[in-house]
Amino acid sequence: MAEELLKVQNISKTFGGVKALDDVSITIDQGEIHCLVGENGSGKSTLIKVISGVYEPDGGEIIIIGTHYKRLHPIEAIHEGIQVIYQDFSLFPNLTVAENIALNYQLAKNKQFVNWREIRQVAKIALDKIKVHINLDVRIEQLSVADKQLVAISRALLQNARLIIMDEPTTALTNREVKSLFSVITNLQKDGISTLFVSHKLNEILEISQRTMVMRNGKKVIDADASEFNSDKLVYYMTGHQIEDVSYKYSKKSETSLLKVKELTSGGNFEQISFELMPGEILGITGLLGCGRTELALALFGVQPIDGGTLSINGQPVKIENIQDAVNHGIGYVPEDRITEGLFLEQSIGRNIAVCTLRDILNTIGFIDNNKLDSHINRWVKNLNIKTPSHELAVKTLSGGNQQRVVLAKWLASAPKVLILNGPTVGVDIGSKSELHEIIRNLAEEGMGVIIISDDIPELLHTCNRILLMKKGRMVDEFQSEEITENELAAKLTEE
Amino acid sequence: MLKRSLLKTEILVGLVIVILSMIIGIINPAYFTIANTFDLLRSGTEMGIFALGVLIVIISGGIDVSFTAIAVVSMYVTTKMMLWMNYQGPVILMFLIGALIGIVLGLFNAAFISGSKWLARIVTFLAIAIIVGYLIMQILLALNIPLLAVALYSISGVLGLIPAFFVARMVHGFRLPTLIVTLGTQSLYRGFTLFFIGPYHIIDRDMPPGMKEYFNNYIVSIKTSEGTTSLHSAIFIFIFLAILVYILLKYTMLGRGIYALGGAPEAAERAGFNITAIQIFIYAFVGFLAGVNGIVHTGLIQIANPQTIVGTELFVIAAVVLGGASITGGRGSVIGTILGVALVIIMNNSLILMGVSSTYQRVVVGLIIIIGTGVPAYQALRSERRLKVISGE
Repeated sequence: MAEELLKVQNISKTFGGVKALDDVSITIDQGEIHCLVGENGSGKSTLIKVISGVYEPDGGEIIIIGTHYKRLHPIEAIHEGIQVIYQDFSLFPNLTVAENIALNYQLAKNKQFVNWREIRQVAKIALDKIKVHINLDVRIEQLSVADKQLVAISRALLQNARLIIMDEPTTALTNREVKSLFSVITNLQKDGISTLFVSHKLNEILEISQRTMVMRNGKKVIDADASEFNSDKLVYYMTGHQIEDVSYKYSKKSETSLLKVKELTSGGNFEQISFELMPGEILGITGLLGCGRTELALALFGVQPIDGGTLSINGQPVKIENIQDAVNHGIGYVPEDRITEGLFLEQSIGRNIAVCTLRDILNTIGFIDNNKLDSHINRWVKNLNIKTPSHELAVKTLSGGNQQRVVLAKWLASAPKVLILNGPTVGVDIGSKSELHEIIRNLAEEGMGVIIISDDIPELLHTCNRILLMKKGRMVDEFQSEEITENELAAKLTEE
Repeated sequence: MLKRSLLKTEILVGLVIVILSMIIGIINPAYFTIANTFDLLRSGTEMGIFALGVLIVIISGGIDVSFTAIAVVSMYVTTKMMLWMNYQGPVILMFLIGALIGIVLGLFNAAFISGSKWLARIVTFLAIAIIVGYLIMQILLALNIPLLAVALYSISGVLGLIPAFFVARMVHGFRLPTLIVTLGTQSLYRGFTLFFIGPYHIIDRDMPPGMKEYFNNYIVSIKTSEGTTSLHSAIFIFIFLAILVYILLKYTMLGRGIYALGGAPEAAERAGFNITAIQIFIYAFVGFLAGVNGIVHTGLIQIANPQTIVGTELFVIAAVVLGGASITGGRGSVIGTILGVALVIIMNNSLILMGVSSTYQRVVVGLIIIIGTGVPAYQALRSERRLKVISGE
């Protein structure tokens, strides 16, 4: 049995009332490859930052080979051999590979002068350690992402790393590069160096992991030997099983479709997309990142130019070439990134709500009627249950869930016929999430057509009556929500 | 690869210099005379010292346009001071005072750029003390209260120091854009000199005796048909400083920190470089070089005119960029800079030899900057594309 390297015990961390980590414990043995899995917002990054000393935990303890820390400082973490490889690598693009590897080491040794021969030697030894060959005299900016990562890893090793934490290391790598990264990790393991591998890619976890810990909503769900897991189980642990509500029941309200998309094509983004949206339907569109789902939504909203295909609204063919056209035809779009695309963060909640409907609140001489404005804003704050002491506060003072309600209110105020929601609950806490789902269901029952674009599987099954699956820019499958389980859909989503 | 690509820039600039020299020499044989060579070296000395400072700032990812004004302050204030003191000793004291003035003004720049708490506090303290003290003095004078001069000054002084003390305590450091700060201080330094010290130039015969002696501190003097032509010893100052900067950049951690800062400031901080200290050093060092250069200028031109020097920044920056320094930071070398300076000096001097009007010089320098920055940018774009092809994107 290998010795314990790191033991994190009962760590909790709260940010402004939200428990990011709730009584989490993890033990990493020497030379162990430990995977940390969870969806966005599950607390993975917070845990990494506690282990590397960036965040001070509210409670709990960190034990590194017998030394107990209530509060671990970043410099102590480095001295204890904990190295984090962030997604941006922290390399110097203008310096050579050799210097990038050796610079931190030289700094740590408090050197005042530079011995170039020594730098090359140190760098060469570091690269040999992970058995890779990269030209030492090439500038970093000329390397591929995979090579940059290897440079970052060998630099970490120079600092006597005992635990290397890799934060989503495979995001920008090709399959072949992932394989060679894995062989590097396995080599490190032979030298007794542990790896904490943070990811949400199931196949990679199943391949590399010895132990796997799954987190959800800041809590540890399970921490067990890798042999205990398979793809279905991982999905089950990651997403949870609390889907006791039945899915949305759609009842036919009309024979004509609200929106009909026929063979819509946008070169390089998506091809030959056809579907219909009936009034009262909540249609889910899912697929992996980069499958063209966002581009499709943007095309319906007039942002993404299209090369072919037709659109009809209420049976009438229409052309949507810009956002103005889309709004005039009653299409509303709630973007994926509400911070940069959907809100004026510094402006008041009220102004954000009213911005799309200013025309309706003008008085006879064309100025804004403040009484109308107030009652308009108050109605939406109440309708969508936006929790704020005053609508005059800036939007940025709200939580993610409430911000999303403001974006929704903005569009609902303009009474759209079709509402497209792209990732409607990304970064929204669980409680707000189900309330937002409730709002969406009510809107559809009143006859609006809703399209939800998401890769949050429980959300789709929970809210939509029909789900379309996109892959590589094409529509490949269609499911009725009642006829498919979460695990089946997750498998369909990821299968090649 | 780094060496090869750096070498490439240097060889390219070197080739251009050779070809240009040959063309000019054919058009006007006066180019290859010793008199002209000495003339080029003299101009090169002055621009070269400035360029060493600009090189360091540009590598660090910043820019400094105030160095010419610092040189003016150093040149003019030092000379005036010597005259007031009726100083009769050697010129070395002038160099020391000039360097000191340069360092102080460089630190003043750094106070707004580096984020250093203490520099920012000192500057805030002095500024508020002077402004408030001056206002109170004016008010007291306007009120016509009968006061002794001593009492007037001490009341104003104390009343100025008190708010300065409390406000300065609240300052936590400034990190302002380098171009904005140095544009401002350029105007400030020059305006200060012209307004408080005086706008009139000091000609050679009115100079302190030490400086007069320095005028003729030649290494060699050669008699030609058109008179005596001489090479001033100031070129040794340039050579010494160039070697100093070369060693600093290549063989000290401080120098590598400057490159690191220019390449990725955040990574430099995470790696453990003290970014604030590095920036304080950079701007103080640029000030030091400019201060020394102010005295060198007086020695070479034999006149101290506060209306000159400012306005030549662009030529210096152009020379450094031509020499391969990346305007976005992180790249540049002393050898490249020397070649860049040589090219700009040859252009400037020789356009006149070729009979081109001096007003066109600015057009030519503008073109040089566009080509000199455009070509590397284009090369970077191409190598990026190549990289994408290689990694199979």
